[in-house]
Amino acid sequence: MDTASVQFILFGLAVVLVTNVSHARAWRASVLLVASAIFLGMLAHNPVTLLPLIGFLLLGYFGMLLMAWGVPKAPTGSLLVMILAYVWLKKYTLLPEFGLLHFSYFTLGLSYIFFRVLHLLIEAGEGHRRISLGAYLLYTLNFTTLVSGPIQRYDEFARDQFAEAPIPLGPRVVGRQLERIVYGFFKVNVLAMLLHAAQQDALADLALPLPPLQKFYAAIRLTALFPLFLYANFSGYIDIVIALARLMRLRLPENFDRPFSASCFIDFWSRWHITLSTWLKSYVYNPLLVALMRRITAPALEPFLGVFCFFVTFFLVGVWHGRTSEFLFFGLLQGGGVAINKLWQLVLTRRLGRKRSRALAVNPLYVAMGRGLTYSWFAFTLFWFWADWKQIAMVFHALGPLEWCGMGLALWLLAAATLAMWEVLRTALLSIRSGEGPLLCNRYARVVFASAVGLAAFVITFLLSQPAPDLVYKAF
Amino acid sequence: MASSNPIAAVDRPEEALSRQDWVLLPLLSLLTVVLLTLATELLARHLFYQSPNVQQYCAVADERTGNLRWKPNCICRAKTPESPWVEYRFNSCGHRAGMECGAKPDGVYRIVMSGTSTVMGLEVEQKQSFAALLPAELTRLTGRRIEIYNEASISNHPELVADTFPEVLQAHPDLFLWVLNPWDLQVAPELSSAQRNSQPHHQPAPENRLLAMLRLNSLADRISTLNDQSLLNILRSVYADSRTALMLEHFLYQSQSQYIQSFLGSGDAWFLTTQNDAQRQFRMQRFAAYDAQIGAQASAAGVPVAVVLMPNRAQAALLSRGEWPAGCDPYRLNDELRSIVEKNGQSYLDILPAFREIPHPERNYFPVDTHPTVEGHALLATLLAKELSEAMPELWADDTRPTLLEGMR
Repeated sequence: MDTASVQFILFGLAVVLVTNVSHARAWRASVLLVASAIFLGMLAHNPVTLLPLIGFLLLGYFGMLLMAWGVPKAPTGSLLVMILAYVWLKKYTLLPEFGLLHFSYFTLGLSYIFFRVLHLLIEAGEGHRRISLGAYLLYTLNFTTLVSGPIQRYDEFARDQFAEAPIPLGPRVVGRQLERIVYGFFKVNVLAMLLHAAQQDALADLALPLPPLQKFYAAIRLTALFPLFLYANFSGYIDIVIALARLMRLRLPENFDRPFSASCFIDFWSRWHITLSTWLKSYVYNPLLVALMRRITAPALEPFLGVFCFFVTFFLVGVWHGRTSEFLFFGLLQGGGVAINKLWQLVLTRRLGRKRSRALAVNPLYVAMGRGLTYSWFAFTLFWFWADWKQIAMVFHALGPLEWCGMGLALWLLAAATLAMWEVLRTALLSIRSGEGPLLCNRYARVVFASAVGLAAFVITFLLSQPAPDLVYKAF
Repeated sequence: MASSNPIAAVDRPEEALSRQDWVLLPLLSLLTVVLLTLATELLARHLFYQSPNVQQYCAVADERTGNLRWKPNCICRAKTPESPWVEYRFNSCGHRAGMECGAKPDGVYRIVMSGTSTVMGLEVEQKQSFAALLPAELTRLTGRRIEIYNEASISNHPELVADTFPEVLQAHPDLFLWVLNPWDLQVAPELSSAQRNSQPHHQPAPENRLLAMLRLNSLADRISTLNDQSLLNILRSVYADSRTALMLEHFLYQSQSQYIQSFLGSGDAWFLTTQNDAQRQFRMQRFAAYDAQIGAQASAAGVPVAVVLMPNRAQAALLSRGEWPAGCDPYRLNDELRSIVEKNGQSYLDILPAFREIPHPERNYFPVDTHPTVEGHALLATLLAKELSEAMPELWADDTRPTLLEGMR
C-alpha cells in the first residue's frame, strides 16, 4: 500500500468512486478524511505507532493557534519547535542516542507533512489565514500526497477541495488520468525495475576481479543509470497520485518537467522535484536574499548574495533527503553545483556581455554540452544519495583517479550526445501533426500506446511476478 | 508551472467524447492487446523454438516402479527453447554414457556417476558434458587412466538412486560419484515418483515441466490441477507455459541481480535461507536415510562413495558476489550435506568456494531453464577434477602422485 502497487491504485480508485457519489463539499471532505485515516491505519498496523505523528501534527496546529491568539514570539518559536521536533522524530544522526524515542513508530511521509505544516505556520505567522482542525488534518494527511508528495500549497488544496462546485470530470479527463496511472505503474514497476537491476549489476561488477575496460564500463553504467531509475521510480508514483487526485477532483502540482532536458543545473532543479525546490525557494531563498540585501548594500556584492542564497537553499534540499552524513555531503554537492552554475552565468555575462551570453545560451552545441554536464553532475552527486560511505569507498577504489576522470568525461560526452539525439527525435516525432495537434498525442495513438504499455506492465508484474524495487522517496 | 509536456497541454475537458469514440477507443485498446499478445508469442516461438523433447522420443515408464527409463539404443535430436539442437544417444543399457555398458577395460579406474538431468548432460552434446570432459581432465591430473560411466537420468532423484543402486554395482565401479543439485533434495522426499512425473506446475526444473507436458496436454487438465482457482492464477498458469513468458524471463534473467531477487522470492529458494523449519529438517532426514542406504550397499561391495553438490544458478551467482541478503546463506545446504555424508563414512567434495573467484558464473547456465551451458559443463569438469584428485588419493597412479602434487603446489 505504501508503494505504487496495484493495491494502492485499487484503493485510490475505490476512494474516487465513493468521492464522486456526491458533489457536496462535506461529503467529499468526509470521504477524503476517512480514506486518509484508513490508509494511515493500513500502513501503521498498530495505532500506538502513530502517536508521535499525531503529537507532531497537534504541535503544529497548536503553533497556529498561538499565532492566531497573538502570542508574542509565537511565529519564530513555533517554527523552531517544529524543526526540532522533526529532527528528533527523524532521529538525525547528530542527535545523542539517549534523547531519542526507543520504540518503533510511524514516520512514513513525515518529511512531506513537515513541509506542509511549516508552510501553514509561516503563512499563519504572516497573518494570512486561520484554518479549522478538520481542514488542517485533511491537508496534512491527504493520502494521495502522504507517502512521497508532491508538496502542495494549502491555498491550491483548499481551492479544489472546498470549492462549492468541484472541478469538472468529463470522459476525456477520466481517460487521460487512467492513461497516466498506466504510465506511472509501468514506470515504477517495469522501467524502474529494469534500470535498478542494471545498476545493481554494475555495482556487483565493480567488486569483481574484471579487466580494467569492463570495470570502466561498469562504472559508467553504475553512474549513468541511477538518475534514470530514480526518475522512473519517483515520477511514476507521482503520475499515479496526481491522476488519482484529479479523479477525486483535486489538482496536485506537477513535480517533474522533463528534467533531463535541462541545459544547466539551476534549470534542472526547476524541473526535478519541483514542489520541493519551489517550497525552498519561497521559504528559504527569497527571505534569505531579501534579508541579506537589506544588510549588505554594496552593489558589487549583490550578485554574489544570490549565489550564496542558492548554495544555502540547495544545500538544504540535499540535507532534507536523509539524516546521515552522506546526505550532508549530498547537500554540499547540490548547493555547490547550483552556486557554481550561478557564478558561471555571472562570469559569462561579465566577459561576453548580456547579448552575447544570451546568444551562447541558446547555441545548440552549448545547450547539448550543458545538458550532458548537468546530467553527469547530478549522476555523480547521487552516489551520496544511494550509497553509504563504505560502498562509496568500494566504488571509488575500483578504478584509479585518472580512470574516474576519464569516466566522467566519457559520461559527459555520452549524456550530451544521447540527450541531444533524444531531443531531436522528440521534436521530429511531435512535428508530425494531425488535426488535433501532434499525431502521437492524438487520442487513438495514445490509446494504442497506453494499451501496449499496460499490457507489458500487467505481464511483467502480475504474470511473471517480477519484484520491483521499493519507492525511494518514501524513505525521506 | 506551465508544463512543456504536449500530452498535458492538450487537456480539453470541456470537449465531449463523440459516440463513435465510445466504441472505437475500447475496441482499439482490445485490438492492441490481442495483436501484441499474438505477435509476441509468434516471435517468441520463432526465436525460442522447441522441438518434441527427448522424453517423447526415448522415454518409457518402468513397469515395476513407474519411473522414467530410456529405451535401449534410442537416438534422437531435440531442442529446448534456450538450448541448441542436441543429439541424445542411449546405449544398450539405456544410459547416455558415451560408451557401451559392460565390463571395464583392464587397467582402467572406473567411476560410475549418477545424478539427475545436469549430470546426464541434458541440453548439451554428450561429448561437451562434464561427464565426458572429466576423465581426460582427471587422467591429466593423476596420470592414471580413468573412465566415467554415466548412469544419470532425468528422474534419478535420491530415492531412485538408492532403490536402483544394485544397477550401479553391476557396472563394477572403483568409485561411485553422486552429483547432487538442490532441486534433487526438494523433489525427492515429498512426492512419489508417479506423482513427481505428473507434477504439472513446478517451475524450476524444466524436465518436470516437460514431463508434465507429456501427461497433461490439454489446457483444461492444467487448469483443473490448480489449487487456487483465482482468475489471476489461471492466467498465470496459462501464461507460464507460453513462449512469451519464457522469452521475457530469458532476457530479464540476464541480469544477475534481478534473477537473484526473483529467485529468492520464490518457494524454491528454501535451501538458500538460514531457516531451519520442519520441511527442511524432513528433507535432510530423508536425504540422510537414502545416503545411508547407498552407503551400506556400497560398503558391502567395497566401493567408495563421493558426493558433491553442484550449485544452482542463483546459488552460483550469490557465491560469486560474496554477499547476500540477511537470512540467506548459499553455503548452508553444502554444510548440511557434508555433515550427513561424512557421518555416513563417505567423501564429500566441496566445489562451492571455487565459485567466489569466478565472475558471473550464472552466465554458464541457461537463464530460465537453469541447466548448465557448454561453458558451464567445462567449468564443472575443471572444478570436479581438481576436487576429486585432491580428495580421493586412490585416483592417483602410484608413480605420479608426488611429482604432480609438487607441481600443483
